[in-house]
Amino acid sequence: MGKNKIFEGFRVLAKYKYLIWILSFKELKIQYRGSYLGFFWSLMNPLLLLIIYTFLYVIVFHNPVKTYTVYLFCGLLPYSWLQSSVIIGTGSIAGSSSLVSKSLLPPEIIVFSKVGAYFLNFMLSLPVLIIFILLFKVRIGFPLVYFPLLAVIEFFLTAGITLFLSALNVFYRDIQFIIMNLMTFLFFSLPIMYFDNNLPPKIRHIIYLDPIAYLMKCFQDIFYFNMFPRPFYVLGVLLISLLFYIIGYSYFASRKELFSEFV
Amino acid sequence: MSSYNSEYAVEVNSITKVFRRLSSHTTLKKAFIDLITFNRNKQVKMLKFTALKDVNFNIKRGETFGIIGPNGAGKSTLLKILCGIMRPTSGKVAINGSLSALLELGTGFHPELTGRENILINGLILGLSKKEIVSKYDEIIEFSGIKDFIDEPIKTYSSGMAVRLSFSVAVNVNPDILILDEVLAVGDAEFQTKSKKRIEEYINSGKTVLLVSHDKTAILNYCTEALLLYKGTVLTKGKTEDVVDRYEEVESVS
Ligand SMILES: Nc1ncnc2c1ncn2[C@@H]1O[C@H](COP(=O)(O)OP(=O)(O)O)[C@@H](O)[C@H]1O
Ligand SMILES: [Mg+2]
Repeated sequence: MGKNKIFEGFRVLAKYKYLIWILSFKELKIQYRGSYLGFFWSLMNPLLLLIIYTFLYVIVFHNPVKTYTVYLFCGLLPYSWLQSSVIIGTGSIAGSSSLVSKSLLPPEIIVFSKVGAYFLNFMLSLPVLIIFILLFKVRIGFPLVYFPLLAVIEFFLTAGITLFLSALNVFYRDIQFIIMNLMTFLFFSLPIMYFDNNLPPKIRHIIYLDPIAYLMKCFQDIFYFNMFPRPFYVLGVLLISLLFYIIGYSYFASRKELFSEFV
Repeated sequence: MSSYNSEYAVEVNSITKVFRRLSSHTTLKKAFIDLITFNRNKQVKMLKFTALKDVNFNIKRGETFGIIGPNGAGKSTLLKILCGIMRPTSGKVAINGSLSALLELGTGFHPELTGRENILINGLILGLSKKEIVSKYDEIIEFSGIKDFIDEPIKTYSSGMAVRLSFSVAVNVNPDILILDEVLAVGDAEFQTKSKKRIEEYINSGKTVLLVSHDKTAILNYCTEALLLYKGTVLTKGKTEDVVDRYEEVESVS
């Protein structure tokens, strides 16, 4: 029984993979319906951040790193996937009352489709990243084979966090507001807009207590530093993300039959 | 939990449902204050309400079963428990077979997506493959009679249109068990005749139907067996005519 429950989250993913895929697409379509630029709006935010931070870093602080913009972009894109999924996903159950209380749709599918939609967003912005990489003549190569694994890790990590928070948010609506603010804080705690070797060693150890920091570092390794992430770290982050997923899903599953009463 | 060799399609075993409503809007602040003050006079109060009390019944395979009772009797709550959308406070439910349901005015659609997309999604939820669903599109759309709006988002539909579409999906995906909550009163006369015919076909093909209504005629028209739910308890169950007679008695008293 206990063992069954642990794998239930993976079984649901396998059983409804096609439905999740379709809903993720539709979710993306809904986001940009009626806007002329459509998907390009989702690039506006990272591009604006790129301009601001490049200005700060290169012009205000006179940092000599020529390819800083590319470095920033490599961390910003995977981070946006996580951030948008967590922020939007946390409110998604509380915000879908008719689906939750009147349809037979398993509510976790709603959360998966948000994470999936931002994953598609992420994939759609990769060509832009590649253009930047080529423009700045940053070298990329074989380490890119790690990309699918890193994407899987981020999916489980993000889904686990979002499932947990979305279930909690049904009972305590403050969660979504707290999360919005925490995500800003999280962003600055990660080595995305700065290089980790600019930090004093003590602080560096602290930020790497966060598995998300490792994951971002792995993305930077393959896209910016053109090097293989250390297998030991990748394995560690993989295990942690699966653990997050199992815990997040279990909590969600234990609460989901109560959602229809509270949304 | 479900066994396909059972003679029953639905088995309900002493279901009780107590709603624990949080007093006002619960906030973390109030919950936190409760946590740190150890105060007996908690800010987050639980108001209890028993919506279902020890409900027992079984539905045989191929039977058309009715649940009748006044508004607020707990009918919709019971159906949600059967569908697994709500958890009973105590008791057990077994559903033996695939299940499709039209709950409370059938608005369990994704409001932002079109009618056609919702047909696909509903079919996938019920475990059909994409191919099976696509092959049923025409039939479903034809039956719903809203062909011209099928590629518009559901949020632009009138509630009547949404119910017609969800009814059409529910009967055409061919589940083993069909649950209908107060839907037969919806739609114009033509749609009602059509629905009636469809349900009859469905019943004749040996499937199980659970029909819920506060309206006597619908139950009398379709069901062979029924139960009367009143303030969360089963007052009587058995042959439809007897149950409806009892319902009339109860109605005249109150
Ligand atoms: N989520 C809920 N929280 C608290 N009370 C509820 C909830 N849902 C229904 N109820 C109460 O349960 C009772 C039965 O409701 P319902 O099952 O909808 O009745 P019916 O469908 O027979 O008209 C009603 O008194 C209703 O107010
Ligand atoms: Mg009702």
